[in-house]
Amino acid sequence: MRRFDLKIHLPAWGASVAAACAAVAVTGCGAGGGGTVSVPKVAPARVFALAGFEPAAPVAPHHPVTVSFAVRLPSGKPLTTYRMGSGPHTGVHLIIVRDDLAYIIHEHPPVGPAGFLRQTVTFPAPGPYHVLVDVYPQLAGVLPNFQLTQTIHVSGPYRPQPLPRFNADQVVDGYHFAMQGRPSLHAIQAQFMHVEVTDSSGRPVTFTPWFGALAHAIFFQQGSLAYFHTHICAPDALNCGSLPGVRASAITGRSSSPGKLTIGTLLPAPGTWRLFLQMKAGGRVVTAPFTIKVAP
Amino acid sequence: MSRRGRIAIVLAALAALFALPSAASAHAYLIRTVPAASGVLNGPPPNVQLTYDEAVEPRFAIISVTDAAGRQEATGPAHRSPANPDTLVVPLRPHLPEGWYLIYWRAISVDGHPVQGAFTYAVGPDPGPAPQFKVPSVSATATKANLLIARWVMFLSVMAAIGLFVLRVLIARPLVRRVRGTSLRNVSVAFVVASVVGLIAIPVYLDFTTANDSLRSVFDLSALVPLFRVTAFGRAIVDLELCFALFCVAGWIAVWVDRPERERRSVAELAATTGALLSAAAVLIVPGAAGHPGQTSPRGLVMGFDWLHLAAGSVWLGGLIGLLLIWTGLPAGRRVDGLATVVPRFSNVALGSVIVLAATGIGETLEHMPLVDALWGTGFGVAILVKAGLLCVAIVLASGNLLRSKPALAAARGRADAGEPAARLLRGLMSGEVAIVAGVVFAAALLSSLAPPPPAYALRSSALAQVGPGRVAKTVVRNGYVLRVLVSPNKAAAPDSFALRLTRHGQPVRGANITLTFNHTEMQMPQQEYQLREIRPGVYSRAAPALVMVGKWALSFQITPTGGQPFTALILDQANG
Repeated sequence: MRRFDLKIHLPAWGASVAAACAAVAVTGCGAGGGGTVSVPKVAPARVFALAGFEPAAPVAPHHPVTVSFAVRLPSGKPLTTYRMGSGPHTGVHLIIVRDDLAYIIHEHPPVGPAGFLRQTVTFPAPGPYHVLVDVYPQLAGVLPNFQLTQTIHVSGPYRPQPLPRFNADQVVDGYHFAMQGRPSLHAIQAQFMHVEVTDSSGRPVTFTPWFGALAHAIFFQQGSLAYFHTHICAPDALNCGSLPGVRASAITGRSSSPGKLTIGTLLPAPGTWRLFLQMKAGGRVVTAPFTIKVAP
Repeated sequence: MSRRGRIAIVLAALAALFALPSAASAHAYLIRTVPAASGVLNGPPPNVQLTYDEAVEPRFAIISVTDAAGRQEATGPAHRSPANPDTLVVPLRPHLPEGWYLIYWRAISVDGHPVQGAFTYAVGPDPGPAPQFKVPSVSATATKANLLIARWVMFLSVMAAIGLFVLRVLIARPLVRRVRGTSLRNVSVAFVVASVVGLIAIPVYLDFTTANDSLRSVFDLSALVPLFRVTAFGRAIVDLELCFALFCVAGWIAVWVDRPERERRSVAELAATTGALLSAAAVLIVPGAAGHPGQTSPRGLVMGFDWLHLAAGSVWLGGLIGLLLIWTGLPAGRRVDGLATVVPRFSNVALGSVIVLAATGIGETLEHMPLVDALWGTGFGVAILVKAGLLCVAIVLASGNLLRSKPALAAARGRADAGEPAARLLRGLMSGEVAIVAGVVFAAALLSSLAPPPPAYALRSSALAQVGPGRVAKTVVRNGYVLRVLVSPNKAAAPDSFALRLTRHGQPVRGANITLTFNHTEMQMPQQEYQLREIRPGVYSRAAPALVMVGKWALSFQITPTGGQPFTALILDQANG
């Protein structure tokens, strides 16, 4: 009788289906409640860093200290090729501020062998100092400049000073810096501030070009220590103006007559900022600090 | 109705079928990100938002946000934005410090294919220089070994079950009546076994693929089962299981109630067979509708090709297996007579199937291949070549049977001894055919897991030069203009600078209008277009994070010199991570 061909096989495949269902059910119960998604692990990136930074230990105030470092590339090699030539967008700007923004040191250490940089500085008072290295590399595919930071501790009792209120008139080393009006600045807006500088006898100051610019305006935000650096250029200055990719150079200040500085600003965030306005006259670098509020 | 009228209706129906609109795109792609790729923010963002061109499923998506040290900053899984269903949002740790962050994302397209990408952003104002991130592995594709094998077993069992059923009820049925003492029990049992394997293989495959897509363990069924019907692809596989189950039930009933010793079929058997064949037809539509054919224009035509291709393959594969089983089941004395009854009937069907297979295969290939060299230049093309090559070998074996075994068997009818060598040859050749067709099905399983090359692949043929990986400085000449193309650093998922120095007779060409268009030639992706700016006389440049993925990009410069004829120069650029 071939009519019920399959009859004898029905229990066989029925059993196999049942077994498969049971297996599925068992594994389902066994694994119940788990259910985590496996997010891939991301390996650490290769970064730009300050290599061999000294001093690593706290230093004493009022004594010359050698700050030294190299800029290490993601490849592990030191950076040896820096932008050179005229203008301020070159080499390395070493800017050191105490965390309360009471003091600033601004230097341009020369690039030594194997990309090592060395600068002797004297810390004026105890406390933590924020070291900002503004680097202008000569590298393809890397931004025209970038910043790396470090901290140096100067031993002794640290008494943070509150920032003074805005004062349009600052007298430093006999030079009178007069901000023209109270600046009303907004974050992420290109704006200008005007400052007139006169010497002790009231004559407009003739600025001496210094590191490629007539004056430097260095801003740090209170608390976050966010940084912004812009230059005031002579009308005929080479390579002083805007440099593609350098955010701070998108707006450039001008000085077309003695004693008059026009500062271009484009501050990235609202808050209280400290402006260190630096110019060179009579063979000396003079720094005038201003406290500036930036509205949203 | 007149004959002409009927023809007109058929033609109209065909035209309507072929005119079905094609789906917009095969794979999900990212159209907007917050924060912007390679952008510098002035403060930490609360979350990361990725907007795609379709509503990707958050339960299948991962968005990883890591800092330069590789620390995960996302504080939860991705979820769908209440404002826009196409947007995925992942929350971030509050107050992220300044620095650069890598976003690596992976999502599953509605068609079931994983897509992924990576980009960076920085929290400023002073993020420092962008580090060199290591983008996580890009191997999470649909072509993993376990997926491929599950897919192969699924295709093989479903196709074999359908083919065995067709052989059993339509082709080999007269055997029992015409040759005494024979039975089709082997074929019936094989059909039941294949259908049971298929019924198990389909959900197993769905489980594997859902586990792979949602990055979970295959045993984590309590999490996976609710995800089965989340993507269109998952729903299609569930549909496949349901249609196949219908086919199995109807097929089992048909085989059970059939009495092959009677020429006339019972009403019950006719009903069950019709039901089984209709469900089989539905089963064979599903893979095409869920896969690439459903997204290739003209959709009706390509899906029709795909259906015919699968149907022909099923009949051939199942028929070969069934015939081998009949061969083994026939008593030695009746073997030649039995084969002489069945083989000619199957041969005709098999010949038709092979012709349909080859024709539809070529048709589908032509639809998918934008350029002939895509056949050896892409994984998809190579899989087609392998499949076609295997098919050719199978056809050679089949023609051996058609030209030698079949006439010899017919001539030896009634004389068992005389036909024995032909029967042996038949078995040898058919065993070879089965093995090779199983290989063809494997190639098809691989093929359908790969993405076909995009239309932009065709741009490769007009490339003036091939450049990359790494920094590019290449000079090409076009229309009397000398073009110096500079790409730096030519890295995927990074801001690159693209520059073109345009000279003619050694003089810089000023004031030209230059647009640079980017097309990925290996993946379906939106085209990007950027206007270059003249930064120095005759030097046009633009920085853009345009090379969003690793691979070969067609960089097409559309140049309109002032007062000159516009022209296009195309460079093929390999970008690596």
